Amino acid sequence: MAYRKHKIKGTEKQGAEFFNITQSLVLLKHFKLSRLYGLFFGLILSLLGCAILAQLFRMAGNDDYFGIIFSSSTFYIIKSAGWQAFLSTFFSLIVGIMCARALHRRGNPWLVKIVLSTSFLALVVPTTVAALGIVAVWGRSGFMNSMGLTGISLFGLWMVILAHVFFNAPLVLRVAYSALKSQPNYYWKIASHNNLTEVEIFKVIEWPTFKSLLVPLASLIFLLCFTSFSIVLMLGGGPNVTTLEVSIYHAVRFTFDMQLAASLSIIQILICSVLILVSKPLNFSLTSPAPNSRNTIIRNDIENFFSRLTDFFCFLIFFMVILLPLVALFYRLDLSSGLNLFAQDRFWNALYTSTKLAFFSSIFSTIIAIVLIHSRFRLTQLGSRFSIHFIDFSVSFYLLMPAIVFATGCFILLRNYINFFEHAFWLVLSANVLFSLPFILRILSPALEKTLLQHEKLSLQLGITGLRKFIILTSPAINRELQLVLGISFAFSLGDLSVITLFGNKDFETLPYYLYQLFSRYGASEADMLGIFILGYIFITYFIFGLILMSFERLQSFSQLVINNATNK
Amino acid sequence: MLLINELIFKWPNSIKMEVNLEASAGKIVLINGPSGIGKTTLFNIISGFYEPASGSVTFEGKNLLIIPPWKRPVSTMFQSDNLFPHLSVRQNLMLGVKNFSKDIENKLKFLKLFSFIDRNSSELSGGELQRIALIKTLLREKPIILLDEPFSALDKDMVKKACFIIQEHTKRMNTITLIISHQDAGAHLAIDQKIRLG
Repeated sequence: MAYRKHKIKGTEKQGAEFFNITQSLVLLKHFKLSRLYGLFFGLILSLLGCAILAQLFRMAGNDDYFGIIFSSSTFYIIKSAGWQAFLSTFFSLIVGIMCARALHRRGNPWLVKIVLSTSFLALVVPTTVAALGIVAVWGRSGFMNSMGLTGISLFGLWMVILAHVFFNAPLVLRVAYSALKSQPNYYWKIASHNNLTEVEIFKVIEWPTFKSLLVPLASLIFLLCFTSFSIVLMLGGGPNVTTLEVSIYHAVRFTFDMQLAASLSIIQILICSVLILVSKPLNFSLTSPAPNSRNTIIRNDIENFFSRLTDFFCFLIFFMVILLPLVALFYRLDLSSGLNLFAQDRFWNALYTSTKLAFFSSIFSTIIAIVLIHSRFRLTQLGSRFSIHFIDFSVSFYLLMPAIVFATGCFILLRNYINFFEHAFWLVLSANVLFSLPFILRILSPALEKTLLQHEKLSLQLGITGLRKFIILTSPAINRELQLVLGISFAFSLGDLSVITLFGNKDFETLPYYLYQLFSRYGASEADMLGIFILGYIFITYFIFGLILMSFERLQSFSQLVINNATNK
Repeated sequence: MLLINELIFKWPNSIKMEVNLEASAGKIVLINGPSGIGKTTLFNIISGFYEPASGSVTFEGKNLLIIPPWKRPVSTMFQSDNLFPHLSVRQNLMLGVKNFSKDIENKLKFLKLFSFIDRNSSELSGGELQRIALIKTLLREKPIILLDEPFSALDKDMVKKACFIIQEHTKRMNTITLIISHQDAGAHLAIDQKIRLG
């Protein structure tokens, strides 16, 4: 009866007023906390970043700061890192773009699936495992040498470049392939109808497509390679191939020259800032592009002998550079001695530490990201631009500051208060959370904001708010993205070899750190086994996150029921 | 001789269409019928961009359906999207064509397009794009010409001129010209054959 009464009384006008009133009430009062949480996190992140920066400047300015900056050794480091980053960027772009062209031209759904899956694999494989695989293929006692190709043995600069191509070419491939797929179908129709040659197609369709991507892609890859740490540390093979981060690591870990470390950190931050300022943002999605619809795209250069040949070589290079290192780990594995790994306490301790780190890191970074996105969403509704920029700044600030620089800064800032060698866990955890945050925000923001907007009025009307709303309404709708960010941040943390190298010791080891120790001591079988274990562990965890989130998905049927009831009313 | 025999095509949730046609060289065939009946689909099948459910399309005894679009003796002017918007008119016209001949220049002048030659296609109006697409289609010198609504964006004077060019090209090059038009193309064109779909 009460329901009927309400229905009779409630006119459309009253409904609209209700929404207006509730919306303003909600924005001004109800969601005050959700706005404040985001600003609070933003404030903490900004304060920490600024304090680290100030401390680095103070430490660097103690003595002959300009002497260090303009010294020949600093120039050598910058030149070496710059040249390595340039070559890595160049080869990553060439391999990625050529493979994207070949993939688009062939368009075979199975081939597309295999290549895109492999490229995704390369994006989530930890650097330590990739480095191990690359040595297994191209090293002195690697797969290539065992196949009788004795001339092929890379080390130093070329090994580092190969590893960077392993990580970045798949990114280029995915972005370039998506860009080609996004071209209007009639472009290919005209090309096919006019029987354009391969060169003409490149000139008229492909080059204009790639042109706009080149600068953002090149600047991103250059930045990643210029600030590369674990790959250069593992594969650089000595002082000839180095980066500023590796030099900071040496200054902190071996010579304990904190002034040099602080000076190099500032140079690193300055160079990163300039690179980020001059580069254009790159919009890309980690999710796979839509499958190719062969009914609509018919490329006339598919039959050409030259194009068949180049496509074949592109795929060959792609599989040799990307897939072979991962396969080679299995191929080279000596199971009997590899299994010794599991008899060692160090392994189990490292597994426990890594799991703890990765678990908390993925949970914390995802929660912080959700809080920040919520805050941003509410602030956008209020039109508070300054606060939005403040939150954005507090997160992207850490893009300028590589993990080693962050750890060095924290160490200099707090060494009088905290013994970092005893409490390294918290420093590694903070670094993992902070450095995965920008990527998580990037993946999660669009989906979460869309869902928040969709459920806004209905959830208010039904009185479903806070955590209840997130569990019942929001999380089932962003299930896929949540799985992706939890998986990625878990993988990122599990495979990270940066801060741990500064503070790691026998009592505090993670799996990548242990792998690095085995790698340095040529414990090949155990290292291979550990590499395979880390790889498998990441994928199993990703799968488990999926299962957990699937149970949340069941809630969607319940939430759908709630929505349907509300709509009927 | 272009021979279309019991060609059946069907889109999901739409009616089935069967087409039979026999057209010889030097002839202009007008195809009309209500919207959505499949006239454009028929052109896409002849050009090689769609596959029919059954039937055959042969030219000079050769089965066209097994030939990829770029090898078919067909030049098509689509209803829209005939040119790359980021290329100039000249660059668009020269795609797949070796020389910028006097004939192209004359056609451009006749259709009042010569002054636009170095402009980007994206800067042109619908009527201008349509005239350029018509010239581009005729330039390819293929024995079968398919024109899908070639006059829809043209004024009366231009329709007359475009019809003259089509007529002249068909006779001179001895082509089979199939035209889809809702307009009264017959007023300016000597139609040899008419087909009504649906």
